[in-house]
Amino acid sequence: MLDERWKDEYVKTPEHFRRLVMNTVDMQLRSDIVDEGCVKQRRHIEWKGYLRVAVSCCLILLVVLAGTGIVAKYDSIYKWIGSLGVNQKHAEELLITDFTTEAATEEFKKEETTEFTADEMPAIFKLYDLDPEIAAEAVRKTPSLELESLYVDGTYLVFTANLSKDAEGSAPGGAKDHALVNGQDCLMVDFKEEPLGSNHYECKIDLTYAEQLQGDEVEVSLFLMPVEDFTFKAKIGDNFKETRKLPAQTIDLGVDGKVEVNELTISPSQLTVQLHLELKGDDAIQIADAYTSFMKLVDSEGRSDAEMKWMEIGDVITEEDGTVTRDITLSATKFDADSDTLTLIPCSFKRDEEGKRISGTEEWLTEKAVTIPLK
Amino acid sequence: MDREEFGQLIIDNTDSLYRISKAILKNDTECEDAVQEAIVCGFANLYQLKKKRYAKTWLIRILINECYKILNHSKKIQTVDGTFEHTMSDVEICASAEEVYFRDDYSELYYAMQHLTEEQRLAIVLHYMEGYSVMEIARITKVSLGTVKSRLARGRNKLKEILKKVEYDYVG
Repeated sequence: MLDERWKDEYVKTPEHFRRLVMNTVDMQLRSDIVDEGCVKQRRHIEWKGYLRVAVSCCLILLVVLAGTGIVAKYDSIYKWIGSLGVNQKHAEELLITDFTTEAATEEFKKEETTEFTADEMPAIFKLYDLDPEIAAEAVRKTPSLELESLYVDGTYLVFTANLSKDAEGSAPGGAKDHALVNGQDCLMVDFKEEPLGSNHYECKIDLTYAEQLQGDEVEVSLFLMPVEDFTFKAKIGDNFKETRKLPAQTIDLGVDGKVEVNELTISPSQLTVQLHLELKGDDAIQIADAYTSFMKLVDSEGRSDAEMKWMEIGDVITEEDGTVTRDITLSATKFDADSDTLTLIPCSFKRDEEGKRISGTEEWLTEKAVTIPLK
Repeated sequence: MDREEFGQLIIDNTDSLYRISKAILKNDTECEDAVQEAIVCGFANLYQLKKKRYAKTWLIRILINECYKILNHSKKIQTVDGTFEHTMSDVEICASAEEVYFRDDYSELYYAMQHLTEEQRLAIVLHYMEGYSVMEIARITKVSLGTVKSRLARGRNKLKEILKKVEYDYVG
């Protein structure tokens, strides 16, 4: 229901914003760049000759380097795995790079059909209730991708792929959007050609909010705006089991109250935890605030190099009995997936008149730390 | 759709672009960045747009993606090594949020909307201000129908509660 009063009174568009939009549109219209698809096709023609030479050189180099593991070292997934810190070695074991046999994977496939009935349409198109005619056109024009390497641990699915040599039509592009993983709708965090013009693509899919995946096979369908569909299946063994979802538990803080750990998932690539704080005492509000200012995550070995961010921060609510409650969801990378415990240490600091943190006044509240058993 | 037509569509929908970006991002500069990125991305990928009638929805989807990209980027990322390196502190974020309350060109409705989650705000803006149906919002925001309905209902109830206090009658 459209309510004109809402529309008029919500926010008025500032004049400088209007000017910015007009200028940006004007600039785009004057731009010589026709569109990304055309640019890519032009680039392919211009670089065709150079590419042949480059590819030959690369092949020779690959043969030389293959045995030494240097190829793997420069693989983009390896770079990402390298960023997982203490979990790096574990994560490396989950990376599948051999897609040369049929047993390992079914290649990225492109539907040959150019006409669909509503039932035959790929799931990804059905999801958006798209016109079968548009879907057929998209599939017909979509080039195929060949899977190069795949990492999946239940929290993230990351893969690299190369555009097939006989590709026709425009290269995959557009804004990153989302993907279906074993039929579940997941956020595609990234999909990019890296480096530009190389026909080499990197994709990262966030499985955090997907229900736990089952089986020993993963089927991934990508949807790239507006209508492009890529699907592949791959055997992944026990990798799904790498993500542990712990049952809800309550940590008793004695006179300070309690912390309910409602959801906790831990995998080599990420730890996610949802907390419900119920704090008591004179400093309850201050402590609830400290949980969202800075926090140190310490594993059972005493390491505290995890990098964390807050995904959701709820309001501080004071109940009738004086209990202070707050919901917090946070995620962290570089936290040891094999750790026996997770200790959260909040931090307080002083603020200046403008409410900004005064550097050097930070204090880790170790006596208010919460330790969550992970095993 | 040709580039001129697309350009005109963007200009005609400037208010919508501002309202939608403002539902997700608080800061005007961030809204400008998101809209600029969305326009550039829209033009660059215009060849992919098959049907004219989807152009506005398509542009809005791109804009929402860009807004969330900025939002996620500016969310606090903390390196806990004792040096307190971070992109933006909680206090800084609070401070920028508080700036909102010093602007006299914002309505009571805008202030009230700030009490909703960004998902609720987005659903309310798309439904009540942009006129999209629940089904269309579900497609735009990539969530289920039930989720959209519940975001609208919760958002509406919360707004009703807040606006009652200031005797506004937006929500009947």
